[in-house]
Amino acid sequence: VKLSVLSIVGGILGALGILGYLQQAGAVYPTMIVTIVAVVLGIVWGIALPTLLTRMRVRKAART
Amino acid sequence: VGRVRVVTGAGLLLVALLLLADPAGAQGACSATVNGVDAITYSSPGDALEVSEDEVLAIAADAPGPGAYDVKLEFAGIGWSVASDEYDGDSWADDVEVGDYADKGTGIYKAVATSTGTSSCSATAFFKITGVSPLSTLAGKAAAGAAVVGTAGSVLAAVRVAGKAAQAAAGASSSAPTTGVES
Repeated sequence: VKLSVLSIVGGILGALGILGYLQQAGAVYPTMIVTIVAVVLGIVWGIALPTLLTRMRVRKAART
Repeated sequence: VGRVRVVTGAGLLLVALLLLADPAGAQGACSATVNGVDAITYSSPGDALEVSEDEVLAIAADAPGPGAYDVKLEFAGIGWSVASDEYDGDSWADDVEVGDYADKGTGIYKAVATSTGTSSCSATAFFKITGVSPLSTLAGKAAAGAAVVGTAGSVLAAVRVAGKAAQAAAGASSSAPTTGVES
């Protein structure tokens, strides 16, 4: 697991932004539970993205 | 050890957030109407009352009085008052002009009317402001901006972290570190 504070914060901000836009578009009503799920998904995104990218680039670097 | 910490931390965060998610209050239910229709008709987001930006919502409720009422709009568990006053007798009525709020936000909202008299009660209705582009409202612009900035920021941060790890892997003759915390 590769952790990046900026990536996690960005993931949370992005998830809340998408949720907020979906609410404004009338597609979803953000209950507290829906908001919590969005925050958790943002955290997962913020952890998974640098982890996967790091694995890919380290493997590529190891091959060359 | 790192994975255990991450999973444990995420689990604790989720539990803490769920504890903060206060379910519906213990107040009784008022008999309320919106534009003459029983509020229970609009009791879920899927059944939201569709209103245009120039519409006026006529809200009325039967409640034990005399007392005070407060009509709040709620969004993600956060509410703000849009109408409040005191009342005599066992009922009250008030109007909420949608246009007062349509420039700041559109979409689906939850309205909670609370009456506090000899006893407290509340009624809930969902309504959906239509005919307003999300990008023309303050809330819509802020949400779209947060989505773009947040997503782009997380991608850039991940690329930077991965680049450093790849450089370390290429430069080191031994195995590259794949666990750590970057800021």
